[in-house]
Amino acid sequence: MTESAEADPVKGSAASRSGLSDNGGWGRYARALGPGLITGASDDDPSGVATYAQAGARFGFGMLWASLLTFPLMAAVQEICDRTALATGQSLGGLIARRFTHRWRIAIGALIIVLCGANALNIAADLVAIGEGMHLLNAGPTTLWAVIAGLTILGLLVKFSYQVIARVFRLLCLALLSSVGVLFAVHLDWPTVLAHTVIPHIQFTKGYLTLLIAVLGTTISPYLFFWQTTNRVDEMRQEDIGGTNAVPLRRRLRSAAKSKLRLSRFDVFFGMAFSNFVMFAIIAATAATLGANAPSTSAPPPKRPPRCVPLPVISHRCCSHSASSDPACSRSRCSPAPAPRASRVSWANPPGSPTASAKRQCSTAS
Amino acid sequence: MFYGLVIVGTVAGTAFSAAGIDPIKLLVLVAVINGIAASPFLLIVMLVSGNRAIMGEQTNRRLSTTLGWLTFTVMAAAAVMLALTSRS
Repeated sequence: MTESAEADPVKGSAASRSGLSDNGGWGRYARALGPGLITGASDDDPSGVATYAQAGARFGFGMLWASLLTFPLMAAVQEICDRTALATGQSLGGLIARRFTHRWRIAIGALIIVLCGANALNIAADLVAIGEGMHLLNAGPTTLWAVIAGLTILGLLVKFSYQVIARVFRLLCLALLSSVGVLFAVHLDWPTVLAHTVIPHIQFTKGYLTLLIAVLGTTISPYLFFWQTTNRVDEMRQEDIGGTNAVPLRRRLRSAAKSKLRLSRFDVFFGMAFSNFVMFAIIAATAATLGANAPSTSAPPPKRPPRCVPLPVISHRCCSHSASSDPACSRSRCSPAPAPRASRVSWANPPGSPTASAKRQCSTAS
Repeated sequence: MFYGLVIVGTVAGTAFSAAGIDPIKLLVLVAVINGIAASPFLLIVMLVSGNRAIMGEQTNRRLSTTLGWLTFTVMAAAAVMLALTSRS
């Protein structure tokens, strides 16, 4: 460790000199895209896609604001995580062991076990979703494809290194852009979309809040904090300084450290912007197709419209918290006993929006 | 560790699909769990990244500190609001 620490500044200066020689070139920024972009793309995992699609299908443009609000928050949090790795050359797990005393570590360990459970559940749900997708394509039974997918991924993990798989996954990031394509394929009322993106609306109902915390939680996910730091440490290990060690910024030359910090920030912010743009596209596209009850043109990965409970009587309470998702209020998903405090806050529907008629219909509710 | 998760996930996934469980519901449930778990982990991240002994010169400055704690507040508030609406 001390050996490498002594050798580093020398090698570091060479790296910084080569860094300075092509200073100002955009190529450096393009090459810097890595851990941040991969973390950003991982954020739009099946859990994310399904949650965003549900948000669009059930509440129309009503949760679009979350895609704008979460951008600065998520970018800040991921940048902070990334910086902990840059500053120390250690991943979050190692830093937790350094920062906290024994008693706290037990509590945090318990939290991490819960998180692992949630992630195993996540993998299970992903596999069922893959199976279901193949089933929808008439390729065979769901269970068979879930097993095939699980075994294939296990096989790839055993056979290939993480680096090889990561390279493939980076290409797969491009598939996420298909949701952006859908955005331009369907008719969107852009002024309405923008209004709903900029002005937050909250409905204090269980259904809305559950989906809101799902949207927030799948965007600002705890596993991404860890993922960001391990990806960054891996990337630092592969740099041509310090051999296979991740050299912390404080052991680098000042100019080299500064340049590394700047490029890493660019990577993280670019990745998070990409991630939230995809999130925006999925919510807007599903809102315009499934949410507005419009005939679906071509939705991204097979998603099912929400299971709806037809209500025999359309109550005002029903309208008050579900009008956003559906003009007729007939296929709304009102729970049999909606929260008594159901109320709507600042629901600003510009005239002519798909929900405007519903709003008129339910105007007595507000 | 990671292999273990994938193996458990594969077994559970097979069981779920055989039981005919709606994957979309399951995926949204995972998202809700992540949302509830986010605030304690944000607390941990902020305590690590604000510690000068660990971070040195790279300790959070004002903007990171503000946005980080704001995120913690938003996630905690969302979880509390959900708990309150679920109870009633």
